[in-house]
Amino acid sequence: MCMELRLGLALPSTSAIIPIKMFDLNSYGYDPREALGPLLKLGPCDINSSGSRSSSSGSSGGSKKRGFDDEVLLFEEDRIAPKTLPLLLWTNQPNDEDDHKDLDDNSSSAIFKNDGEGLVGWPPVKTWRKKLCRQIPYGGADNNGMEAAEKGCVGRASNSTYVKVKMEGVAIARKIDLSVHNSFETLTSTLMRMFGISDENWKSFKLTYQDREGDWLLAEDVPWRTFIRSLKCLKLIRSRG
Amino acid sequence: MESSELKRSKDSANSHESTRKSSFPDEVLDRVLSLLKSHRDRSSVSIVCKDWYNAERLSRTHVFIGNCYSVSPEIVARRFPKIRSVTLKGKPRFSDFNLVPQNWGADIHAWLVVFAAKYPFLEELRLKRMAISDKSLEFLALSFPNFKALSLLSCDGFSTNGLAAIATHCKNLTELDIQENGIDDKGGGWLSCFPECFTSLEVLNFANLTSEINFDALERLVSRCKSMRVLKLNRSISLEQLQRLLVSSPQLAELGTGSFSQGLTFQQHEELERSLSNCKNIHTLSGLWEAMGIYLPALYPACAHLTFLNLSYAALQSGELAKLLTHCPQLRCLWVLDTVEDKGLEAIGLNCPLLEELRVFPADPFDEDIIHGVTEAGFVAVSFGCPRLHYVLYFCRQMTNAAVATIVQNCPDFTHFRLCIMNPGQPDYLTNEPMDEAFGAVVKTCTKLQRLSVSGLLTNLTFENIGRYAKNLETLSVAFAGSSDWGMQCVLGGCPKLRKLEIRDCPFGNAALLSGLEKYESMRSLWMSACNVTMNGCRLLAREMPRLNVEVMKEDGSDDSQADKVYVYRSIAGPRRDAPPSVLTL
Repeated sequence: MCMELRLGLALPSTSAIIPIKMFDLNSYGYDPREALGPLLKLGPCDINSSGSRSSSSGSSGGSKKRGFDDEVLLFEEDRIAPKTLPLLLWTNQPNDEDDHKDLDDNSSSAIFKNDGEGLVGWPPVKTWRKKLCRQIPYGGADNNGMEAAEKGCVGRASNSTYVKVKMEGVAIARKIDLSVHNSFETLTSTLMRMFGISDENWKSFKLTYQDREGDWLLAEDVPWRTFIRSLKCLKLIRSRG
Repeated sequence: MESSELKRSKDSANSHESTRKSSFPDEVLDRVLSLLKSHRDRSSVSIVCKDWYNAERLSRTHVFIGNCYSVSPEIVARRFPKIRSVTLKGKPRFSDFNLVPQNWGADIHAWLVVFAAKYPFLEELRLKRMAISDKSLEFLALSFPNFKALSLLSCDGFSTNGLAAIATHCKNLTELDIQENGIDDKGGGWLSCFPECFTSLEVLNFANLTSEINFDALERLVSRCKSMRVLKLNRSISLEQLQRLLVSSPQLAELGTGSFSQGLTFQQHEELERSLSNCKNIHTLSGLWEAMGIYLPALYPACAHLTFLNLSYAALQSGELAKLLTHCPQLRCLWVLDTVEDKGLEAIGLNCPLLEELRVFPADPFDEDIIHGVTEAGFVAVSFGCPRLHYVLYFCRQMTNAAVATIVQNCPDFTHFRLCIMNPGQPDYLTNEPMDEAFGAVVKTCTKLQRLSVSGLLTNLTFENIGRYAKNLETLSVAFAGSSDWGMQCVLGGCPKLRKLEIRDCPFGNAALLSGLEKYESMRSLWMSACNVTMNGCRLLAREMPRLNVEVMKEDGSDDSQADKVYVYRSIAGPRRDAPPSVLTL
């Protein structure tokens, strides 16, 4: 049972991501004709001195500061109303990492999880270090890199066999224990059960995985042994066309 | 020490100017100036009067250029004729995180051409975030017979062939330091290019190269370079090979091991331990790739005088770290991966009372659902045990306002506070409040704060506090924060010492951008990406402030009116002429 809330919440631009709390639900971003507060005059000395504090409380909309005198043609550009994003998705499955507390709890983080692709340059870890991260094996004194790969060891600094699985369009990921599987058949039936996908619907999905180098590959393209040794995490995507 | 000498000279010069025509005796002035090394002191000296300006410029041997586009090589060469050492920084810092297009610029070649003509006796070149080609490296190697030190940090555009040219031709090389670069590693043959008669190398750092080098060539090189004090190996070097190198270089002060995970016999382990204990001067240790817990004890004898330990390539667990740290009582600086977790950080608090710098890197930064790593508890534990802590870089997935308040109460001397809560816009996970209070505590308590990176859910209140209290702040990094233009305006209106401001994904627009018009001339640079700045706002800025270079980087498919990425910096060289098509200079 999957409940999806769409609050018609718009971002002023597709690239600027702003915490949910800061939004004025009625605005698409800034509009010079919306006199939502004292207007700013543009002279360089004026901006600092008039310093209107109307929006400093944080709970009001983000657009109060952006009114300008008509002489200053800074906002002649038309802004296209951007598309809305689902605010919150939650399922009632057990094994959920959703703690059902405040809706706000999940909302501010849900909006930044764009299906595991990640934001460019975030977190701010240097590129060369990013590459290193993929190559660092986890494990204690009795575990070397080879064993770690065989167990599909990710996410835990110990001999864990759990791997993250995401489904496209679902904000919350699951973890699956790979040690109980030794073929694609058992893996797919577990995944189908986990995500509530029927046999017919399964055909419209593809199972992909991210390998230790960070590349995304199709699971069906490789033998099981290769798959299990090199995978870091799984993702179910809808096959198009 | 040098500054007070300077003050006394300045004072006496000023008091005499009014009574005598002749100024401070040249010989004395020259002698005093020759002792000045800090480029900031030298800048102060140069603005005292014309004589001092000339005396300073004629005696300067090292020039530091924080932004290669702020000045041209011709202007530098005209002002400072006797330079022997140059430090240059190029791309904006966010290029480290792929936010700057590949061909952005900051190419060293034009500088090298001028230097070859004006500074034929150039000895040192230190570059950060510059583009340098193999051709340039070869040109460098052939143009400067006295060349001694090359340091490349976060540079790109070159391959190991360029290094081969340096090794082949630089007969007087003392330092080859290749760090964190986007280097095209074509193989390890470059190291074999050092001639057999070559003995002057003191610093060799090839830790970030991946290919295997010829170990025999390296062993011979290390054994004949008796003055070698810094040796940082790459992963291809095994423990056994490391042991052989240590035997011939017990004088090493800084060691970067290779891979620390080979299967060793008991005897080999003993030999390694013995060789390490013979190195009585080691104060810095790094490398330790794939370090396995069972081999760490070999390091213990070398740890007694260790002041800097870099474990950021070793995925240690808390217990392993704890044991290792009991042998490192002198530690001042520690870099770790978050695999050590809070328990590991507790061990730091217990064992490293002299700690001044801590960096905790994320082992798996792109896995959002991971429930390990470090939390606020670890940071708090360190702060209780390490009151001298003044530099921290901390990646975590949860933080609270209360924890940060406690941390800065324990460690009020922070100069660098870089906190990265990895989920953008995440509030205090206990109270669900914004993290404003946390950073408010930081700027109010840590009066010496020079560098601040903020994260988590932040409203304008954070920036009001920064502007009001952070009187010594020079560098501020902001991401996914703020409520409106007012936030950025507060920072630009306060923070008298602000030099670098880098902002991404914040709701700051033209009003904010334009509120800093005069301020930008006293700053090195401003970066704003994925904010609400428009092209017209940038054009206005460029028009009002002709001494600033205003550059906009457009992204494919973006709205024509949006200024996706804006980079503003002061320059006496005028707009640059080498910008690629994706960078618009306004």
